[in-house]
Amino acid sequence: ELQTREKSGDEGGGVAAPPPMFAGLSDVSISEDIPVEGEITVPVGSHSPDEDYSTLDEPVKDTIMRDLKAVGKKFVHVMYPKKSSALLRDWDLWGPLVLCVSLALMLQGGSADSKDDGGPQFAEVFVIIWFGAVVITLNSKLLGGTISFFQSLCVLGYCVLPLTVAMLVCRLVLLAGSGTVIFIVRLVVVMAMFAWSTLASTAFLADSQPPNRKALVVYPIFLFYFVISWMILTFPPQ
Amino acid sequence: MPLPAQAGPRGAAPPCPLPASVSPAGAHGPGAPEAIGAGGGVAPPGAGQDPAAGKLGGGCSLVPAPPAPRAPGQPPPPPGSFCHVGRAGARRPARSQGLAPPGRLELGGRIPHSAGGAGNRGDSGCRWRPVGPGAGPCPAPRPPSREPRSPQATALPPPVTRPFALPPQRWPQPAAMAASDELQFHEFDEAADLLAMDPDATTTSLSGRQSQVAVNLGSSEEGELGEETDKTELLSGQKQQPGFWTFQYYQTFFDVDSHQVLARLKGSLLPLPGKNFVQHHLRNNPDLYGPFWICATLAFTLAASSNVASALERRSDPSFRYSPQFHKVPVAGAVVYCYAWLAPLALWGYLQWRKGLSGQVDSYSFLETACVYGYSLFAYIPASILWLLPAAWLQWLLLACAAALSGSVLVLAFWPLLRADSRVAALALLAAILALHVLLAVGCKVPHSTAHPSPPQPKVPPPGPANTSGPLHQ
Repeated sequence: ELQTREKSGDEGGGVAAPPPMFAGLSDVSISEDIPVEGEITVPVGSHSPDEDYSTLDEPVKDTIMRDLKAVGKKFVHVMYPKKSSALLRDWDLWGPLVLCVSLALMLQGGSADSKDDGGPQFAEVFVIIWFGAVVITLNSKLLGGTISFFQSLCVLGYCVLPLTVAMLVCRLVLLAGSGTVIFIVRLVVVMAMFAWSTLASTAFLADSQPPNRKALVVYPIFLFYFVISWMILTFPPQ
Repeated sequence: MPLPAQAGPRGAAPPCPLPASVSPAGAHGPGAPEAIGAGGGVAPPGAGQDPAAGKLGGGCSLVPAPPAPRAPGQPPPPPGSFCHVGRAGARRPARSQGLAPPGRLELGGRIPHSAGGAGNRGDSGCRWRPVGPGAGPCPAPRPPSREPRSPQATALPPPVTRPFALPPQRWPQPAAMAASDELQFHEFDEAADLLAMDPDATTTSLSGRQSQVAVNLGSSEEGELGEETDKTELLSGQKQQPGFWTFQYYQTFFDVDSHQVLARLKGSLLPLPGKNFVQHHLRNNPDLYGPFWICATLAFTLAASSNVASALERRSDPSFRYSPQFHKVPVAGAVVYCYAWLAPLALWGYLQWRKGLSGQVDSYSFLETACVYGYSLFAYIPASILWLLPAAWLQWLLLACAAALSGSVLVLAFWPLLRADSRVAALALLAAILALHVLLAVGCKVPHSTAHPSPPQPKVPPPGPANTSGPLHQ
């Protein structure tokens, strides 16, 4: 069979050729004694190998800007969630990392003074976000989802962006004082961003789930963002 | 992929050459195979007709080849006296390495090899089946399409198109078997004998979902009528059990739909005396989704509600500084998960031990036990949220209700198992289950209530003897 495939590659120039194409070759029979030669040529596809090499020579600014632009484009996708597959196709974890670290740093200010003042530590936030995202991804895959592991991590991480914005707003609002009105404002902002996050990630992830299990997949995402919103909302005012 | 003696055409696997003692004088159909071997089945030539026409597949193709002992040059015997079954190959009397050893699914279908039984095995699965002189015409080879095989055709499946792809059908339908009983029946007999003699041959079976296809190695339950057991397996809805190192194994634990989970949650909230949770709701399909996420939700709501309740209690106190007390979440999580997994483990172990002692006590599987426990914890979630209400009596009442509900789910689930056991042992076990459950509830409640102590004493210390009692109340 290996020889057969070689022959196909030799003849048709393509690795996977539909059988009828070679129907005419069925008359040819080759005895086993004759050594079969050939070469396998892989047709040059859409990607050109030259591109990969040339990125070594480009200025560092170009490399960084390219990645930054990709991250920025995904941020825009999250803020205006449409059914686009760009987020899923070219996943990267830079955005989630930046968001997670900034969120964890911003949540740190509350526990700076007393040690039994129980705000979430940096490690707690980090672990909750990443471990939570991993568990949700595993859950959706175990339920029969077709999305890949890192794509799901990417989407869940990027959809933390609204909550990071909410945290920023809360910190700024808390600078103005702390009272019931401030609390109401914070509550409204956090709730709105929580809803935005959940809807954005559901919009990206729900399509890859079997239809009769969508609710089973959405609930853990809901719980995940709820926990993060809880951490943001209970950030103690100074 | 071992090739037979004569390589076939380029686009297809080589056809089965005639047995060595036969001169390939026109009886060989090299041009016939177009998509042999790796290809699927091919239209067989007519019985006794020109073998060069049509295509040879894994099915039986009729080649009017003379039987082995005939000297070359003799006119070929009437068709049917030597039937080509399976892929042609050099006629070898002994086992050939081309045949699928046990446990390997080979291209060209499964070919169990017998200990030199009737028929000769060639490599790559080509076989020639000598037939008795008065046996009648060689059976027309089966078309490669998915029609039921007639037993007169080869007993081998057509070659599969891809490795590890399943042949469309393995054995003839019983109806077809009976219908063509008067025809070449020993073909099928031989194949059945092969399987009976070598039950370790690789067999495959279709399951409802492609993702759960598993190669059933050495299945001892495949008897002579392998297809019938396959069909009954499929009909009974049993799933193949992939190994525990595969992802599919764990997917079987999450095989629930949304409405099923909802039904189970409702059943855990409203236990009816007649309905055993395990039998009524689980129905041999325990899942891990419910227990896992119920425990996660419960851990979070316990910590969050205790924190909020204490904050609400003490907000009138000017010296009160709110703190999220986030460290409670991992603690609550650890407690809940330990309970939800260790208690079922202990219970299951105990029941297995009792089953070993006296055969009357039945036992659920560990998964079902863990499932019941997980779903029974669902009653605590609304209770823990309602603990936000400040009245202490209300909180204890809610606690009692939740414990009663979830405890009754457990009792109803396990009582049928223990009926056969001695009274004392059964009651003791049920008491232990309930006690643990209530202990969990109380254990969740106590940190909750101590988080917000009784309303603080007024800041102005009352004069006189009340001074000494002030600090004690804090």
